[in-house]
Amino acid sequence: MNNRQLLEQLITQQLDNAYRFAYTYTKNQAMAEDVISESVLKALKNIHTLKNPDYIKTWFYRIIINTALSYIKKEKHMLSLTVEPVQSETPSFEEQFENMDLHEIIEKMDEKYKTVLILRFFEDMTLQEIADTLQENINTVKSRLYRALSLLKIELEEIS
Amino acid sequence: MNKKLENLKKEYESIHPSEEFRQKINTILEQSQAIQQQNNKVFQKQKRYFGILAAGFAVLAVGFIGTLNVSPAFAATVSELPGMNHIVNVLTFHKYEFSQDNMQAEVVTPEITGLSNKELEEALNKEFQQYSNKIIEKFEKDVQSLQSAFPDSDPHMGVFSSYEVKTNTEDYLALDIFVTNIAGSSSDIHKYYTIDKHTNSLVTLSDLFQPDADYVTPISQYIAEQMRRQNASGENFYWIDYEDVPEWNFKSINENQNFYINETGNIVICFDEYEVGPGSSGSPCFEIPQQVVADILKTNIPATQSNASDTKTISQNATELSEDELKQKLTEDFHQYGQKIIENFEKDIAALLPADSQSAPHMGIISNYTVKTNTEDYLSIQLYTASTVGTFSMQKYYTIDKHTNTLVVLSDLFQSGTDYLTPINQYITEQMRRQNASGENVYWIDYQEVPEWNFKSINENQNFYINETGNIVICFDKYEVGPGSSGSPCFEIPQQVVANILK
Repeated sequence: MNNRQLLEQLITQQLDNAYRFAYTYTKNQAMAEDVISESVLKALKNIHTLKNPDYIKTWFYRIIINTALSYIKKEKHMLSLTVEPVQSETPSFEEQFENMDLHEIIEKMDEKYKTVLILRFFEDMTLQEIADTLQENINTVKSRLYRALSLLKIELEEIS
Repeated sequence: MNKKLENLKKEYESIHPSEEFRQKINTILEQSQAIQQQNNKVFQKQKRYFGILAAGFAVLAVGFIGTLNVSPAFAATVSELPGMNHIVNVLTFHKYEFSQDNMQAEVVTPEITGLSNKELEEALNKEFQQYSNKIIEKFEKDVQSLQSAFPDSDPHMGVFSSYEVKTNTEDYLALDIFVTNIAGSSSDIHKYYTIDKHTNSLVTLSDLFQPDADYVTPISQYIAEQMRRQNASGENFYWIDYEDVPEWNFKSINENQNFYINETGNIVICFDEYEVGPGSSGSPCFEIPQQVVADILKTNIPATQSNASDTKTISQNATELSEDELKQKLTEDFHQYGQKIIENFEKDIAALLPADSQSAPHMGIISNYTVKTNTEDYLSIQLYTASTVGTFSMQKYYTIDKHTNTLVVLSDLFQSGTDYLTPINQYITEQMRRQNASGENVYWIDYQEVPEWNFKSINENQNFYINETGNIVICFDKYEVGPGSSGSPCFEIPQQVVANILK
């Protein structure tokens, strides 16, 4: 199977997951669908740039992240600047996470932490795979993951 | 896994996209696969088209001082060059474009120029226009009725009609007017017109043969042999000796079978999709070798070889067919042809929209050209091919220097040995940063997330053209330097950027 067919298979099998992942960025169904549509097109167009088929999933997710970020950037550009920033690291803010449901986490958690959390526990990627997707150092990924979990007040010993 | 995480995961997995979304992605994937094959077909079709134009033009250029070293040549604008406006050409008279939601149409109407029989020329051109209008009217009516029948959904449909010059020699002009890739069952319909430039008349198949000669039999026999041969070799598949449905089997051509005369002067018989084989067999044509019909042909191919009596017969035919008769004949042809298109169109729409479905796949290919510049010094043409759904789009620009009569490449414009890439790249990079900052557009420059996409430099053979002001305009394809939403951007390079290295 060549890379293109591999990609098509990945898209077909992972479509819902890809969509959910985009949704955690866009927080909006229509935009998430647009993000995935554009990511699919980009991936098909640039499949020839993928050197190692083992990395196809991380490569595709990276495209999704970049596309989502540019959509959000464009949105923000058009929004008025009176919108209050939601990212904050004050202790009271942290306390809120403890009992949040997913929806609230998506709304309020910083994208840096949200992403590693989702990729690790909902997409079942290894830390190395997450590092490849985000093009970050693996230690950075580790520390972000621990930070995300501590925000949720999840005891580390409970994680297998 | 931790209980909290498990619960969160369950919530996560309950997030679903809409049903239309899934279908949309499936369509994109199907399109992508189809486009992979289409890419080859489109390129081959274009190569063939340009090959024919270039060949036709090469023939016409003999006798002029100097030859145009152009590959390919564009007949459309050749007639606008000084001293060349008496050549017979086919131009685009009109291009109708419609795009709304998922309904697309493009109907390109040809126009013949340079025929010495002006009445014939006018009659044909008028009929081409009427025919196009008919397609457009029908399409617009269908758009309205679809929209009122299905107000909440987004019907997909498309009509694409254009023309191809098959032959343009001293002796013949042959035109193929086709309707292609109608959304749904994508049936191709072709209609061929062959004009004899010596007698200045529209050629029918029977015109080519001696009166009372039976041309149907030898031609049909030859074609039947070819069909059997191609079936046996697996080259294609025709309904001949097809036991399952004997009434579909090819028995013979009609007296007025679709045909045209090719560059070599041979008759080419053409069949519509589904006429002699299933849809996958396409719209096959068969070139009839000279020897099959040599003894029954009227010797008017080419006219210089005919003897006096034949010439008399030919000119009799030409004058016998008065303008009114020609008009009437063409009108009938066009009506029949239009009917066929309309029938197929309605069939396709019926197939496209079963009562319980809300959306339907669609596809279409547009391939056309635009003249960007036509001054005393330069002629620039943009060739554009795109799929109406999905991502495929391609632009190619050609610039001809009218003084030297050559095709201009980027390096030609600069003093030899100079580095023209660096100043141009620098300028474009600045512009990209400026447009990113102002939000005018989005380019991949300083894009940290995927540095390999960042613009570094143009190629030596970067797409470009010279505009009306005489400035170089560098162009990029979609996705070359930015995301799809950034389009196919062009950058005009101001004089001062390259003033010191220009020839």
